[in-house]
Amino acid sequence: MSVNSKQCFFKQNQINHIDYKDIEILKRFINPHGRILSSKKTGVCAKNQRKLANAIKLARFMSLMPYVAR
Amino acid sequence: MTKESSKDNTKVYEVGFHIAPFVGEENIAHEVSHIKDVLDSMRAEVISEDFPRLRALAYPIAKIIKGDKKISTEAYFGWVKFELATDKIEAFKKEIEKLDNVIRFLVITTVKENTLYGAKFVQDKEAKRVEKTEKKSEVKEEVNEAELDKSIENLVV
Repeated sequence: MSVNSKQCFFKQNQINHIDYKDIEILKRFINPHGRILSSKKTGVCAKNQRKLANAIKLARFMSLMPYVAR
Repeated sequence: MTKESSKDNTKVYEVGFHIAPFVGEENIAHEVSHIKDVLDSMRAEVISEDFPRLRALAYPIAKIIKGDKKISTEAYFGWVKFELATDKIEAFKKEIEKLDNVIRFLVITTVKENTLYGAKFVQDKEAKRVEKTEKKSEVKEEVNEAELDKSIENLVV
């Protein structure tokens, strides 16, 4: 599937506010090492990618997600 | 006008916090009441909350409590969403810092509406999985019936 044909997950599901407590959703956007996946791979739009990155960083601070894994 | 301006100065905040595991489940309500007392004293309006639940931490958190360094690998995580005047939020943070049993906390600006969707997606995923497995089993049964018919015909001929 090409990048252009992918749609932003958050737009598709009408999620306007990305919550740092929503670990089930955030987990989809990190790799096994705990690093944030690029929007190229996930198809998330630039606006939501910024929100997503912030939410993941807050979740890491609160120890809900790891800074590094494996 | 004064009422309007005072309303304009408020924002919706959310405090997420970890309560130390050694506090014990029976004393959690007491710890939460401390945080709520601080909110009450500042005339904050509580919008929603989640009662703290014990969960494993992604990495251990250390905090020095009364000169003793304590490392926690699990904690009671809870949150409270509230509306508060913007000029009082710094004072609120300082008050929460004073609570010994709160090993980590985070104050963010948020919206009044529910922002948690995770549970819904998990349920949807499970429902899809169940549907898929049901469909597969149905298809398998159909194939089996067709094969059976063929084999019976062959036997008759």
